[in-house]
Amino acid sequence: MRLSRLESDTDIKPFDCGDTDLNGFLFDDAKDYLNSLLAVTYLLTDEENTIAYFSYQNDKISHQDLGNRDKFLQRIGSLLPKGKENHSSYPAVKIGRLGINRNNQRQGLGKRVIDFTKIYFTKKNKTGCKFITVDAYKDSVPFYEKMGFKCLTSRDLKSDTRLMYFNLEIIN
Amino acid sequence: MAKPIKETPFLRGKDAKKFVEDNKSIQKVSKEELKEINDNYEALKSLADF
Repeated sequence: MRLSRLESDTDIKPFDCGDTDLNGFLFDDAKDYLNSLLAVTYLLTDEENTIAYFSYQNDKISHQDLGNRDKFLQRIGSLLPKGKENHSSYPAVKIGRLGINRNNQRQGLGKRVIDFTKIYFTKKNKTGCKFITVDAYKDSVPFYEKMGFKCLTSRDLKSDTRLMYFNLEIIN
Repeated sequence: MAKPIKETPFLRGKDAKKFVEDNKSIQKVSKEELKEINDNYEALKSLADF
């Protein structure tokens, strides 16, 4: 097997994870995201097939500042124009998409990719990164919870995907 | 075209409060768990051409 970065001229080997949307992202969108500098996709392949793929993009988690000195601003924060509240931000990497080929599922590959990401963006990272975020398909939420991820907001409860995060300090 | 990757929203109100509370105290993973995470990293890294 080989783990490589998707390039514009990469010939993508057959892949079917059982989800039309995830398959579609790999074949129709991943190169557009790459060429637009929005996300980089990595491919785990053998001689014949794409075994798994995952896409990274830079992200950040920002929230209203809830510190003591800002209690007043916190109370009136909702009255301020958007972007004018005091806030805190943390650098993050987003796993935009992660798919495992149907024939290779339930072999621990998903966990291996998540664990790879955890170390790659702490011990081997060239810039600071405090969180992993993920745009998780609803069916995958229990998997990410098992990996230590938490839901970021309740606003996407009815959405097809849920935003989740993992605090990298846990392993640092 | 597949669903676009969702953007991470700015957290306000209850979401912000919950996020701050949940990250106030961090429980580190055990040595055994950390070793497993490192082993999985090394396993994939050994296959990487980057």
